[in-house]
Amino acid sequence: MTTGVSSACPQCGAPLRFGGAASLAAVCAYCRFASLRTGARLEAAGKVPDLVATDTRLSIGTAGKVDGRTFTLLGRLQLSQGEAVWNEWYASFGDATWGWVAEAQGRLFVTFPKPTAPGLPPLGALQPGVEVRLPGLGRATVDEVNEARLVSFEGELPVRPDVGERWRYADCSTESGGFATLDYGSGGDAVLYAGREVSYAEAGLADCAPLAVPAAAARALRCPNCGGPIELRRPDTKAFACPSCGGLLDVSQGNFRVLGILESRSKPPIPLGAQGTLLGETVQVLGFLVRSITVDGERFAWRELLLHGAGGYRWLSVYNGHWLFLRPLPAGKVELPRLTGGAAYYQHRGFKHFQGGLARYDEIQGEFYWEIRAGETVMTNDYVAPPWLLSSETTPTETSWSLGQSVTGADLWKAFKLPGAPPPKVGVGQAEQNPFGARLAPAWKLAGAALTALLLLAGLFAARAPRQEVLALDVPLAAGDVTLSEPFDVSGGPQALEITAEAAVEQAWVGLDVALIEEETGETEVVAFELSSFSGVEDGERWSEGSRHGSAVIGSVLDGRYVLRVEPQVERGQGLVPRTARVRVVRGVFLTTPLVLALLLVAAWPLLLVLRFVAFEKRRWQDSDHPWSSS
Amino acid sequence: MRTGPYAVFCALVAIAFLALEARGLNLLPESHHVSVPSSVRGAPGGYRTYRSWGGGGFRGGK
Repeated sequence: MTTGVSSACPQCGAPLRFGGAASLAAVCAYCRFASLRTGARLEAAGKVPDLVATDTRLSIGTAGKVDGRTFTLLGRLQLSQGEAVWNEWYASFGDATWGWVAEAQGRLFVTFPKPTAPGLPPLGALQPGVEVRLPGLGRATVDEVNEARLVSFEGELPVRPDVGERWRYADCSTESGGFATLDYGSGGDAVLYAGREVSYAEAGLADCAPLAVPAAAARALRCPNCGGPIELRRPDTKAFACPSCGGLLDVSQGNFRVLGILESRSKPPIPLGAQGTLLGETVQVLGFLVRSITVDGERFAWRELLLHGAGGYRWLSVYNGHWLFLRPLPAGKVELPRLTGGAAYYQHRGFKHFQGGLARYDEIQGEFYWEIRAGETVMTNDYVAPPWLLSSETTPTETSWSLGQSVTGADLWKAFKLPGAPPPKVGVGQAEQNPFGARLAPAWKLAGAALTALLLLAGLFAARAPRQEVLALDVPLAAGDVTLSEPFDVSGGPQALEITAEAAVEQAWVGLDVALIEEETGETEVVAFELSSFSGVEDGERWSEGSRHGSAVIGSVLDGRYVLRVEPQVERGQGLVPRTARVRVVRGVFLTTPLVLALLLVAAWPLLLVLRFVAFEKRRWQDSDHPWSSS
Repeated sequence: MRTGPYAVFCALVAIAFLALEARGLNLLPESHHVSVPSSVRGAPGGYRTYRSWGGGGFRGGK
């Protein structure tokens, strides 16, 4: 029956082609009966169920290229893990090898069979989030451990398919973009399929990728519960929540089935079906969720929008007016928190753990690519490195990561051409960019230069200050005995004068009123000194206080002839007061107060920025699992 | 970030610092000012007997 690569369908006689060197089965395009090839013989294997509608952009005969190797798609398997259906395309390469091109939610994964790969982990050792070492890939993270069921197939295949057959598998990813599937069949030893995630463009399939959201592609239908109009915008939609009656519909089987009626319907912040271009991606709003976590009895609710565009599915999340645009991320690209002490790492950037909890789907509207159910919960953890956020969601079978980017409501309103203004922000968003962060570095750079310049100038002034003694006077220390100096000249002003007084008092106190009198004008500056020295022992401890030296600076002293008047006050008691105190006048001294003030003024702005930066961060973390006040 | 205004502010602070140092202006005065009448200045022993210096206000030591 076979003639090399061409045969006839055993059921209807239509031409049947076995173009792939590894092809073992083929489905007749006319009667959809499957034929199995055994040596040169073909045997009919029954009719294959119709294909399930998916979001595939590929078809049999599509040609592409991976790492310089060309391939042609010869057939596909349609698989389901219960919630969603995806396609595994059989790719035949020009060098007689073959691989799978998995297509799910707008993403492509190319893998090749590695039948002799040694040391593969047993299925029981795997769970989502666990790290494993895989031959040829190195360290990988388990994204999903699940069971697949064969739903349908078409074209040629390198396996003998059996609709309804189930097998266990684990999907793994690596930091460098590697991807692998461990196929355990019905629970036996694993077969490794290893490769990597590629974009449509990388695989030479750019022409297959829609350049924009498909326009007017929605299927107009009616809700079986309320009869209201509903629109399905995606072929791979599995669940739909009617915005009219709140009926949650299972739309995966063609005929809609009402799964339940949802209560308390909020209005989506962006209407379902709205299209916009955000961060370079043109997307359409498909679904709306209200989700919440409850911490210590307090419910924290936020809203999410499911989007779809050329890059696949995306999310918009909003809490208190703070928006995040999230893209899916393979688990392998994230260093797991348990290995990094509460932080997650992506592309060498550290993300601090912000909040975790059991997130519940409270409200559902629109369409979803999985069989979503109200009340379902998943374990979520968020890690932040503003303006970025890593979010993980873990179920018993799967861990999925998203990379979020903070966006403003104004940008969203502009992107989706929405009327009015977005709701105002409340507080600080978990991934909101700290507005003071970007200002700190240039401010401190400039401040550093200014402070250095000030210190250099101060050093120059201090070095050039003459510090010339213009008077030295011994003042008799007798109460009421006023001492007048001989007149002395001060020149080179205006300038600062320093007056110092010193007396070797012991257990005594001396006060000096010192007046610097300009002889011609009578303008006088008066300073007072207290010279004292007391000490003793109290409760076994020695104490001392007072100072035998005092100094004061008089600023802006003009040139002229001056007289110094000194009037002492003495409290001798049991102590010792010397006969005289030494009083000196020094001109041209360097003033420290202008320098200190200038340094403070220059540093004030960056210091204020630091304070505002810290206050902003404190507000950010107050609603987290790690508020600053308790750390 | 616009650092221009801050740069101008820093320059003004530096200029003010230079001016203060050049004029020896003490921003934290440690003295008080008194104008002694010419009658005191002209009188023999006037400085000794003049009592309106403002005083140090000493109240004694230990």
